[in-house]
Amino acid sequence: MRQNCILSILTVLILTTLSDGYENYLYRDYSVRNTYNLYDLVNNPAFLRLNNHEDLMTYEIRTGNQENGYQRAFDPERIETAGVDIFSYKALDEKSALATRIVYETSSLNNLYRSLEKDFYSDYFSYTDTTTGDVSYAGPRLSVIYNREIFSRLLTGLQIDYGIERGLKDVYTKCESISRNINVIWGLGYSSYSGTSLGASVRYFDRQGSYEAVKEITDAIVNTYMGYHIYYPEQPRSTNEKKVYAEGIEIDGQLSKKGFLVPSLKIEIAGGYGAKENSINAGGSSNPVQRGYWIREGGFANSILTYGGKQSKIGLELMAGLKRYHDWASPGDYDVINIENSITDIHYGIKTIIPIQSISLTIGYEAGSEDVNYHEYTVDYVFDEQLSRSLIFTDVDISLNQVMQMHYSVWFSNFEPWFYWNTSSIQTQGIEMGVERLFVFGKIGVSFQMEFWKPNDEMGSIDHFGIAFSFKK
Amino acid sequence: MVKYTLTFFIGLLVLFSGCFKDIPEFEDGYLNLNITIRYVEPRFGIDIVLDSAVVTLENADYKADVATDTTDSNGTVSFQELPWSKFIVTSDKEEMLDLGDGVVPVSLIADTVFLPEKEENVFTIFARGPAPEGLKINEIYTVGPPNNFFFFFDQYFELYNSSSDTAYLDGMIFCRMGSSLESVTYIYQFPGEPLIGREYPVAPDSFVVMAMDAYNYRDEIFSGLVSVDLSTADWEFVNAADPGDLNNNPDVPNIMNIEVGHTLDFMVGLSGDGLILGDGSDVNYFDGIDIESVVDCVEYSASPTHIKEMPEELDKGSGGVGQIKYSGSSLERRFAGFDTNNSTVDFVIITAPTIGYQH
Repeated sequence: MRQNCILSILTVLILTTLSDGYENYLYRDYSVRNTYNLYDLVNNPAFLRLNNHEDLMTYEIRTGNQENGYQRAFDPERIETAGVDIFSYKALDEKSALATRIVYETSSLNNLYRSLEKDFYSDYFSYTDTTTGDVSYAGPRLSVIYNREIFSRLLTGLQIDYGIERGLKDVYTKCESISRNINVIWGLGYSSYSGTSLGASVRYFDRQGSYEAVKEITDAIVNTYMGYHIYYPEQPRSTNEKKVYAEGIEIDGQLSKKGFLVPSLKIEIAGGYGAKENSINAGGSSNPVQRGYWIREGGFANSILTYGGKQSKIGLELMAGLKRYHDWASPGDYDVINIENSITDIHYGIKTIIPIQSISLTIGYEAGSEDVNYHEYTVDYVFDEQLSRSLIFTDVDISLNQVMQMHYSVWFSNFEPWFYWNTSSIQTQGIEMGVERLFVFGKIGVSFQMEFWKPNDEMGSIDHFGIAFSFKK
Repeated sequence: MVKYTLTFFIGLLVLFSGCFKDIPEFEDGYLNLNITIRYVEPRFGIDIVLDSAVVTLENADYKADVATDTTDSNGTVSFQELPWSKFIVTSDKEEMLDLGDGVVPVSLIADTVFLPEKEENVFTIFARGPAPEGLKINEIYTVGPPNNFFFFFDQYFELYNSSSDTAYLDGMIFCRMGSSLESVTYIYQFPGEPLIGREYPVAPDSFVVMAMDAYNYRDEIFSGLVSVDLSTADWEFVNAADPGDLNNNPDVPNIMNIEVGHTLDFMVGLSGDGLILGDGSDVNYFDGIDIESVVDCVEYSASPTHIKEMPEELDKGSGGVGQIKYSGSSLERRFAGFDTNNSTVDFVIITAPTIGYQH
């Protein structure tokens, strides 16, 4: 039971990291590799307590290094990351629980070519200058989840995530960026004795980003890209500023039924719909003007069918899902659409869990396709492609003895990337190894991960190495 | 309960979705311009369209290629599927016209700044003859060399005589203007008698360099790396009331400050100002400068949103949009003496100053 508890909370940690970082993504990606419980199916805080019954405290220190031997134009040559992560879960009484998380992360983007963004490609209106330099980012992130049973089997929960991050470039324009992000989710859930759970949640998120680029000499000219092919040269001035305001709302629903058709079959269905608006202002500190805005709107649906689950039997899981959204952007000066992007993403996967004595072997495969219709009207650029991807993986969990566990993962994948990767496909391969030992004072673990991305018919690769130490009690 | 909850959530989404902006009606890249170039001179009964005239569209918003095409026999040129943005439209052509002295070649210039409001745009630009030939403010070097200690004291200005006759600088004034023609910031005057003096001639097709200080900044301060050598300038500005104006070069004649109480050298805004060359018939700067006495006027500003300060009769636009302080760049007419009384069109930013010659 305790192991299940830890695993489920670690899943919470992973998902929270993905979805509630300094950029709030509107829709999450599902993978058959992960195990989803009632909470993290749509991040509904109403179900936190149903998945976790024992108090828990985890501490993690992690560091990573990524060498971009192959890179997009506005990517850094190397990324160094480090972070501290503290998580606690406590049952306050029989009906309520509280989970908190504090994360402090630093990252250093070395030899970053021109971009003043942490990820140039995540926005349609990205800021650049004309210098190459190192940019350091650092900041804390806080999360609080409160969960309570208000009536018999009727639950409610509130989750608040708040993060701040500051970035600084070491050469002119010495751009300083500050990003503030808030994410609030309120959820309701009902869980019957017969194993049927129904939930709904509403999410509001808001981000403010501020960039300040100063000028010393001539080279540091600031531009705002409109898409990826044309830019607006910002007026040369002593200080150029960019401000980003983004807010959005999403409603999600979920249904879970144990004993669906046959006793060992469970079905989980999740879906959501949301919209996000981004407004970008740029200019001098005294007269910033709207440089553009863009809106994303759409929804997703995901279904998981799980058979088995008891440790003594072979388990089987099937997943299928659809994500569909539409973006449109407009420059600030003129009431026209300058960028439009429609995405329809279909994914499906299968995994089987085979217990062999003290070993749990998981083998899985998933695939998907992203139907992209990206159009830049200002320069008439069209990227209309169906991008396929596939992944094969195996996870091995070994209980060496009563107090020690080992974990191995190996995966291979292939995906067709967007045009700005300038290659037809990328193959990835990765390996992860971890060991965890139980002591009288708690559990200490260490895990090591390597992942390599190799573009097709191109020189160079992206090599990622990471190591993490954890302490749980 | 479930029904009410779902209704509540959907209502909430609809409420918030309504707060977002509506999708615009038009896509970018479908702007069509149909431009006719016409020249009308009622005094001589001339009303013609300019055929085979090269029309240039320069995008003033985005970093984009310049579009060029030639007018047809109706004087019309069509540009299709352009991005929605501000364009500087220019055209020039030499026509054989009878302007009272027989048929002679006349250089006609047409220009306008176009702002899009609808998808299809049909309009006419009226060409005009060039501004009268004579002394022109040909180059303005104000931004300073590349440096990190805010050095800009190597400013200079260049005049050019575009006429076929000798011009005379005697008694002429050179002014830095305030926010209008009625507001004079600095006024400096050449020696000699205005209008009638003949001591300081400027030959046709020749340049005159006026330095803030006739000093070799390039070698003496910047070790020959950047900046300019102004020690051989034709004139230098001198203010007897400026105790800091120590670089008075004895080999270079002076243009003297005539503003009482003014204690600064002739230094102008690095990235924006208005300059006037006057014939010297009006030196009473208290009520501004008489527009009839203005020989040439140039307004420049690095800002694309700059609001005009000088009268449009003298200068319809402003040059130097995008020019960067401390870049070592300069602002010069497209061609020596090229003057349509629209500095937006007349001037281009050049990467380095050209002292006494055209780029």
